Amino acid sequence: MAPEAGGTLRNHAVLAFPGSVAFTTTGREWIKFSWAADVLLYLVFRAGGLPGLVLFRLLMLFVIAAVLYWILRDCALHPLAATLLVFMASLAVRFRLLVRPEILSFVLLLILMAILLRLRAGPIWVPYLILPVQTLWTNVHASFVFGFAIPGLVLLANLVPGDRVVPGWGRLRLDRARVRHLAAAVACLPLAALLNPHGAALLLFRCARTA
Amino acid sequence: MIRLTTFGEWVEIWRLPEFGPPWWTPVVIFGLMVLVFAVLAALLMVREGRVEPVGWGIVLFMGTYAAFRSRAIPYFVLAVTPLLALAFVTLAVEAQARTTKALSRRWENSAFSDVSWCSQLRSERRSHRESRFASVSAHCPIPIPRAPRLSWSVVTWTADSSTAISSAGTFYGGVGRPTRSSSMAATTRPV
Repeated sequence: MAPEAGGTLRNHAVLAFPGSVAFTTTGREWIKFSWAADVLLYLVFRAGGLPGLVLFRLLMLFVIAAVLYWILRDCALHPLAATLLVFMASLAVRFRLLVRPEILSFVLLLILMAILLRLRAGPIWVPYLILPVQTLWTNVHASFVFGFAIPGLVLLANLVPGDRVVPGWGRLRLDRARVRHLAAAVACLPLAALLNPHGAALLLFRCARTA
Repeated sequence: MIRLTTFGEWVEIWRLPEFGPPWWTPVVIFGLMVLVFAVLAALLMVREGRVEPVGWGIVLFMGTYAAFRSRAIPYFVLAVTPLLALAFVTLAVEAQARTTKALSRRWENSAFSDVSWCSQLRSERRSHRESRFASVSAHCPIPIPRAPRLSWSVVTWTADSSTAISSAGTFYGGVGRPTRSSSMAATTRPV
């Protein structure tokens, strides 16, 4: 269905098409969270047909496994343990690894985690990398709310006083300058999420749906 | 199923029941991840007295969501796995430091250890040399200048466990417990 919607989007350049794809939502406001992923899947379909989509799905599985393995090795985990954890994670991911926009959101979640884990060791501007990721995620899948929650959690953990509280067992503990930059980046996240065809309606719609 | 029949051409790639994993696989992995994380975090909390808020936050916030909505399990697993890895590494470094400390203490206390034997021999030879020099210089009317001592490098494996702890910390990327700095890997001692 995602490539079908992507094709409609690409051919007619419309985002609001109540009832054209899902008849159960006829007459209701149609907020398309995953228009970018739909267009991408449609382009893959046009290029490679159904086998192309299957190969794309396989490619995403490899990308997820590779990024996760790199993150785990970056955490200084032993290669054998890292492989075992990647295998377990792939089993958990596999049942949702469909030709749907969420396969892209898995990759974006891992990229977000990689950025957060580099906050301490990386340059001072690293926190701002979460902004383009959030913009992309907002246009790809509705799970972009995790893009607000996880950096917010890291920020909150660094604001809690006391030596006994160790974010990421020291890996996510930041100095004051980095905490300030992370706070600025987290504050800018809603603005980054506004960069979508629906604007604020997409964020509010999600809030209303959750409520 | 209406949607599947409406878009019949997608059924083939949308859902492959023959190849799809059984429904309980992600549930078991979800439970296993939560259990392992909770055990590791509790163990580190007891042994080191430290709390890791980000991991617990992910477990409580995303884990609860995943418990009620199975399609959120992959998000939870992908988010919690790096923190699980950090917990493993921290625990490994901590355990290695403890083991090294205990081993080195046993090594020091052992009467037959090479370190104690070598140092004992060295001090005996030094005292013998000193006594010979003292007896010769006492009988000689002219004061004998002390000959410059020849030095040679002695690579000693320090009984202190800091080297091992430091190397373990370096191996694991320096995460976890702050390691004691060590510059005692090789020492030059006059013999």
